[in-house]
Amino acid sequence: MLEIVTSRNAMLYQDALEDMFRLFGRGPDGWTTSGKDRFDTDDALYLLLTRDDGAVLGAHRLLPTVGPHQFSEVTPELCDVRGVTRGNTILELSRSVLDETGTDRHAIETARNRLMVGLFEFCLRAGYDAFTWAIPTDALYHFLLLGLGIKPLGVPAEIEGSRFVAVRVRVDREAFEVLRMMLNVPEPQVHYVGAPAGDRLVLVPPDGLHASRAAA
Amino acid sequence: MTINTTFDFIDRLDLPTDGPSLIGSFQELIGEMGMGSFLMGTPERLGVPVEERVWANTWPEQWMQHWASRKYMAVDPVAKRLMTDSAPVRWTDVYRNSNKAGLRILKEANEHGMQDGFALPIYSRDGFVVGISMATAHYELGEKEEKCLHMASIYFHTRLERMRAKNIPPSRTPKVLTQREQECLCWVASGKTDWEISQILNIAEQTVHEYVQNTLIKLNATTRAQAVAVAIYTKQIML
Repeated sequence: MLEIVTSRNAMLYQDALEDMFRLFGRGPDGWTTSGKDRFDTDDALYLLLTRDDGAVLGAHRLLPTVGPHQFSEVTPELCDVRGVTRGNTILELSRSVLDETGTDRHAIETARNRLMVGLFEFCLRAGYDAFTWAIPTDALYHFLLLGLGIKPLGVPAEIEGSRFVAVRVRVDREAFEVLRMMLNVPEPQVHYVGAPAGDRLVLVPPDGLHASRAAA
Repeated sequence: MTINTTFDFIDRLDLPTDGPSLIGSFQELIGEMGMGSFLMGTPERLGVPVEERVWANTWPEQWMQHWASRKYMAVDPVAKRLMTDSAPVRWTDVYRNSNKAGLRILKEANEHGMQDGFALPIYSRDGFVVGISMATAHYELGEKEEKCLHMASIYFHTRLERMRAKNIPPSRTPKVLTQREQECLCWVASGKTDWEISQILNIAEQTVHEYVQNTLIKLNATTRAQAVAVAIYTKQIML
C-alpha cells in the first residue's frame, strides 16, 4: 500500500515515518544521519510504500513548489536555463528512497515500479499536473523511452559524483496508463486516511480516473 | 547561445517528424556546436546486418566506407570504450591512451578532416549499447556544451528508438508477459514440467501449457529455453 502522509494524519504513521527518515538518512556505506532536513515541515507530503506488517519499503517526499523547496532554495543553478518552475498544481519530488538491502531483486524492482506508478496516481487524484525532479541522466533515458513528457530545466550537473538534470515531468492520464502497463502495476496503489473535515488534500476515488477516462 | 539551441531542439521533438528530418535536426544542432558529422550505431551486435547496426550516419562517405571495410567497428578504441564505460568521452583522450592500431585509426581519421570528436553510449530498449560518435575539425565544446550535447543525444536517441520501434514488424518486438506467464516461465526455468507447475500453481496442466506457449509467441522464441533466455534478457523474469 502507498500511504499518503501529511501533517494532518502524521500521528497515525509515527513508526513508519521514523523508518522512512532512517532510510533517508542511510548513506551509501551504511552511515546514518537523522534523515531530516529543513524541508521536512508541515508543508511536506510523503508517499510511504509499506508492507502488510507496516515496514517501509520506500518513500517519496513531495513539496509544494509555491513555497520554499529544494530547487528554489538549494539548487536553483540546476534550473539555469528554463528557471525554477512553480505553480499550485506542480509538486517537487525532492527526495526518494527505496530499501535495497534485501536480496530479492524482483521484489525491489516491483517496489520501485509501484512507487513510480503510485506517484502518478497520487498526482492525478489530488489534482497535480506536473512534478519537478532532479533525475540521474542515466535514468532519464528509461523514462523518455516510455514516452513520458519530460522537459529539462537546466544544464546537467554533477552532484556527489553522479550526473543529474532538473526536469519537469508532465502528469496526465495517458502517461499514467502507459506507466501502469509498462511497469506492470495494474492495481490502484494510493491509500489516504484523510482528516475528517476541512482537509485541503482531496483525492478523487481511483475508479474516478477510469470513469472520466471512459467519458473522455 | 548553443545551450538555448539544445533546449529548443528538445522542445521541437514533441512535433510530428520522420526519421530523416529528425536526423537532419540533430545534425543541425551538433553543427551549431562545431561538430561536423556523426555516426550512431550498435558496435556489439555481431551477426546483425550492418544496415541494422548503423542507425544514423552523416560521417564523410569516404571515411565511412574505409572505416566499415576495415571493420574498424570491432577495434576502434572509441567504439570499444563506449561498450565498457557509460561516461561520454572526447576522442583524443581515448586515442592518446590506445595502442598502435588505435593511433593509426586516429591518423587516418585526421586525413579525412576529423581531428577530434565527442562520443557517448546509450542503452537501447533491448539492452544493447548504442554509440553516438561526433567528429569535428576543430573541437570547441566546453564542459557545459558537452553536458548539453549528452542530454540532447539521449532525447534524440529515445525519439529515434520509439520511431524505429513503430517501424519494426510487431512479431520481432518481444511483448510484455502477464504475471501468470512470468510465473510459469520461472518454473520452466527451474526445470519443472507442465504437470509439476500445474500442481504448484493449482491450475490445469493444459492451462500451464497455454501460458508457456503464449510466452513463446510473445518473445519470438522457438524453444522454451530460448523463451527463458529472452525473458531474462528483457528483464521480464528474474531467477
